[in-house]
Amino acid sequence: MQRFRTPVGGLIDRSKPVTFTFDRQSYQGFAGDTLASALLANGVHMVARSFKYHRPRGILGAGSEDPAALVQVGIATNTTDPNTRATEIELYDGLGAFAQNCWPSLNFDIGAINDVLWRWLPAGFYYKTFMGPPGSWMLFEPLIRRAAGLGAAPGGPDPDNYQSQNRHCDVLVIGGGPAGLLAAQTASRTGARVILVEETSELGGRLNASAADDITIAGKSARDWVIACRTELAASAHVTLLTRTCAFGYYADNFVALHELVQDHLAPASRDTAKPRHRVWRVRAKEIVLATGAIERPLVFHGNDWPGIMLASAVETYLHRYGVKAGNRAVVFTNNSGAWATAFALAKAGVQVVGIVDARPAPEESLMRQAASLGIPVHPHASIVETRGRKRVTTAVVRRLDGQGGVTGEATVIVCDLIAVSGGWSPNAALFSQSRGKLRFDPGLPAFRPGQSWQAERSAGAANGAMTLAECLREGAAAGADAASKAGFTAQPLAVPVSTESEAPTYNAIATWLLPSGRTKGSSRAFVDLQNDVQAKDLQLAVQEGYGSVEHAKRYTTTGMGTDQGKTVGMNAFGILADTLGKPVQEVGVTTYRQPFKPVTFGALAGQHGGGLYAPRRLTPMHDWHETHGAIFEPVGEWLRAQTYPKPGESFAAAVQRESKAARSTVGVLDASTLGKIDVRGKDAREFLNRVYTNAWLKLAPGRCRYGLMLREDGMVFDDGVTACLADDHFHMTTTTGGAARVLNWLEEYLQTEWTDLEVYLTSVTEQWAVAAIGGPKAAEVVAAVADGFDANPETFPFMSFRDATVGGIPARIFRISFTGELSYEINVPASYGLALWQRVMEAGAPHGITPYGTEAMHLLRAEKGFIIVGQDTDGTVAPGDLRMPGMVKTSADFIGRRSLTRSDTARKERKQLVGLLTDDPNLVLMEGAHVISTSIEPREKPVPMLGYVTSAYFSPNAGRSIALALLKGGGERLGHTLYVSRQNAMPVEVKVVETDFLAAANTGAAS
Amino acid sequence: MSDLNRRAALAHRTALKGSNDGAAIAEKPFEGKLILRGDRTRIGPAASKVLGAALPGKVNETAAGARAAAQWLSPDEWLLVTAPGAEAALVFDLTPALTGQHHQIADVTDYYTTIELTGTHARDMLMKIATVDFHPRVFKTGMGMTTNLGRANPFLRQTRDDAGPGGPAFDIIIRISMADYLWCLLAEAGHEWGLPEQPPKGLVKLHLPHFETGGP
Repeated sequence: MQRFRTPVGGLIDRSKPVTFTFDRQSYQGFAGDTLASALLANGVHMVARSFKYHRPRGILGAGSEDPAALVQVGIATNTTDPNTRATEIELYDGLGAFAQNCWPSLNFDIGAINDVLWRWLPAGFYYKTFMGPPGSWMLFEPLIRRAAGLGAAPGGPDPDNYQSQNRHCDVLVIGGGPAGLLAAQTASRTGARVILVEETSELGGRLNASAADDITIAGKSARDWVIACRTELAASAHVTLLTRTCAFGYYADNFVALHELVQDHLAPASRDTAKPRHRVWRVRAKEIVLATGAIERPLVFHGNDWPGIMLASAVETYLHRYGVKAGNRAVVFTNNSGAWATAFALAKAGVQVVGIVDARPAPEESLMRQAASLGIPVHPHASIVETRGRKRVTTAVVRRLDGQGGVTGEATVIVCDLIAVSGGWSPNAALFSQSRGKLRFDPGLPAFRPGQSWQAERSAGAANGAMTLAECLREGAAAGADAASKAGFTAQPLAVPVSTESEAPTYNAIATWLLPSGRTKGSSRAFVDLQNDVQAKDLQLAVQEGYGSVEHAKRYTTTGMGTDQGKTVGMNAFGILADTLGKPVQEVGVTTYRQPFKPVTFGALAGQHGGGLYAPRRLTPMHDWHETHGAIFEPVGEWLRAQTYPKPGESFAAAVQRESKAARSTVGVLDASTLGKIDVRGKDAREFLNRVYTNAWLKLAPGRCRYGLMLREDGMVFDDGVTACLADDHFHMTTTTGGAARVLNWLEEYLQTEWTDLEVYLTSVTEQWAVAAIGGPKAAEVVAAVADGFDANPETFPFMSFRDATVGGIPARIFRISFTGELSYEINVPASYGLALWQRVMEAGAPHGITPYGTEAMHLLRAEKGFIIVGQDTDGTVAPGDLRMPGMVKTSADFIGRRSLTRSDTARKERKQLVGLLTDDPNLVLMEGAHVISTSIEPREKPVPMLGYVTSAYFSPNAGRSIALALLKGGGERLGHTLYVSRQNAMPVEVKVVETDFLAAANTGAAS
Repeated sequence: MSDLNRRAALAHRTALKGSNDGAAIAEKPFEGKLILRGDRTRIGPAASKVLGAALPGKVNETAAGARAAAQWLSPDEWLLVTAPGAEAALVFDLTPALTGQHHQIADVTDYYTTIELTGTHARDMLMKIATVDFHPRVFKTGMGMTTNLGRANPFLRQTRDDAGPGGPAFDIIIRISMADYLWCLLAEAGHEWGLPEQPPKGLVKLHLPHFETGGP
């Protein structure tokens, strides 16, 4: 059934047949296959349609370098995985893969009409054609996206688990080929902590693509040597060996991100639900060895993109690693001697090799002799000028090169079903480039290779341009030793195992960026980028239109973009650009490689920090009571605070009104535990407070409290709160909930940098205390009932003071402070008693009808009294004078921000000041943020001059009408004036400028 | 009587144990905790006498005294951890000993709670959620640090050696408001080694009237 399977060989397990489907057709492969190798074993080459022209796309490569064999895995909408390389999907029983970007089917795809129209669809076509009229791109874009595209994104929540891991190591080795293995082994033997990362399921790299007995290392077969290395590394406690793991990003300070596919290779039923699907490893390495290998380049010639045209290295990989013959009649087309080995290997495996086409004028004699002995016709100094066979190549047409950039002589027509191409090898320098290393052009490759390093890394093996196994091993060992010794370990004397390669042909590649076809430029279809459908002529067009710079050409044509990031594309594109510009390729340069090297699932990036663990929700000690009593919660920074407690059937707004009413007519209680609290201690504490607050603190007696306003150096309000004097050298400061951390850091910085002479220590005690704020006409009765033998009489326990007390034996501190303007007590207890305190307050308050209220009612209640909320009624541009709180600013001493208050801009008259606004219609609540303007009719001149804006607006149940606070230009001077507030989709509404205390007689009078 | 009123931050959770000593988490509620601040050269000798151990002088250092363990937090700041209920007596003894030297003692017993993490995979769990180096070559028994675990930033110290039965143990001291989040994050990190999933508390649907009504 698997017609193209060799009888023996490969790293597959022939005892374990595997059944899978591709595009709803069932096939068989073996355990150890990839989807690509199993499809090839079944004679299937065409697996996809291309991005733009919907041309048939086959399997070009054998790993992550493949640009276009992209398929969709799985059909369930929430687990389907688009744009996955068939060359990387490990086969499991029941695997279901689908072709993407084709309709109705892969074989017959309507979208292929684009390919018929190709002459009219050059690079930049969409941008040029759909430019106008303005806004129309919004209409066209979705249509174009549908026509051109890749797979379908999953549609539902992802049920899989993902995890991130953090690791530090001495030496990170990226790449598990011969160079990487030896680097890891050498480094690990010094005792260094080593992480070895291999992208595929097997260590060995290119060794796995070689015939099993062709190569020996250290007297062993290559395979046995790899196994011995793996065994040694796996047994070492300080080595982490990661296969199926791609190093996708190299960031600053030797930080490398790895993407491990933990379970994708297993059938869904046999996956371990306790384990994640993918992991992202975030590695900080002292030293890095980049042994990422090299990538073979395709050749760019007319008709080079049909299924059945493959990289020679891939053909060899399929043959030796997977035991798959990629065809029966093969042509090898090359510009170097390396691919001749592919031809010979194919011949040895029984594939009929019907031609070697070599673009070089004089291929090596030894190769010519070997080809002759195998009966392979050789076409030196020739090129394939045309291919036929849209869905699978059937024919190659060969002509001689004339040495002048053209072709000459008679065409030779070769019937074939496989063309193995090799355009030479490019070091895989993506990570090196991401690390900010500078690439340099090596004409011997010819390709760019790592030049000067920027970070603590070195490249080794093929990644560094080494083209023989012996060189790779030597570089690997040297790199491992160098990395370990730079990481502080003593390297052993270098041991490079002796290797033998049978008939290792020398590389001797020449530069052939675009091969001539004898056609006019316009009619040649030579593809550079098989994923993004970029042809050589598109790059030439880019130069012609002025996008000659390599970065411009990339963007104009989309060369090397998408999920492929130009793995097989880059060098050919740079070469074609150079030839078009008539410059040497080193002057054209390279595009910057970007992370990720390969697509990474979003789930893996999010790791475990998703869903309920996305962010902490900080909960107060009373949280459970709030939740069981139906509270609706509001996020305040990270805190979750009860916003209101609607009764069954009660609306949010009605609940807030009821709570606000109760807090002034009977008694209400608020969970105020989240307020920031700072313990201030030291003999200079008083002086310290005097410097950080705008008002005077030197005379505050122990047992007393004071409201304070803090400014930044620029004189603008920074935070506010009440601070209590516990003793002459000991204060308890409170801050806003959101400002707690910010204020502590700010004050600590002043102590450590500006006022080092002050003896003051600060420590956050925010969560040490749980706080119930009890306010309203009945508050004293509730406090007296709840606190043990406590005199809550406001006459003897005056406003702005505190007392120590106990509540049912719980040690407590009770403050007589108020944020509502009502008679109010804030009971503080150690947090572990918070819930008990709350329950006691609710019990003691029940006879008085105590009403718990949330943050929404709190906001409303304070607005009724015109008390500000820093951050709502101030925005970082509001000075104390703007709040019309002149009494808050002392003249007796210096404080932070003082000098800025006399700055001309801060002192000018027309600054925005806080005022109250009342509408005529008592039921009309203004919108927060709405602009205050001077006219009811919008003038012709736009923009309308803005006099200020509404900062807070509510319907006040206690004033019996709507109220609003606003910051208004020259607000203090405009009291009593009539102005207007703009509205959405309605005429501006008239407002009267009033004082900010809406419960004061003047305002209630105005309201009636 | 008052103790019946006292509630641990993680009272709603029960200790979790994975398979084969791989991972376990448990709350150690109400450990006495103080923040001590002062110049080490000035308060060190007197404080050491009370604690039974010298105040640690360097980052990552801890000291285990007869009265309390001390963890270095900053050059003039230490976390003192003592037995549940012993904090008041410690304050009572430290205060006169330090009188005359500029210092601060703040009782933070209720501010934080302790989650004990143990198990042969305890380090692996920490490495999932912390970015600092928890390799046993670097972080060892008797060392402490302040770091981020996920988005919480606890104080943490290793209290039992890796070689001991059941693997290493770590005391993680976390502010109570974030204790549930960290508990659930640790359970998630230990899922591979048998800890059950723990849905976090407070995952209530939020009311966002401004987004719903779009104003007047």
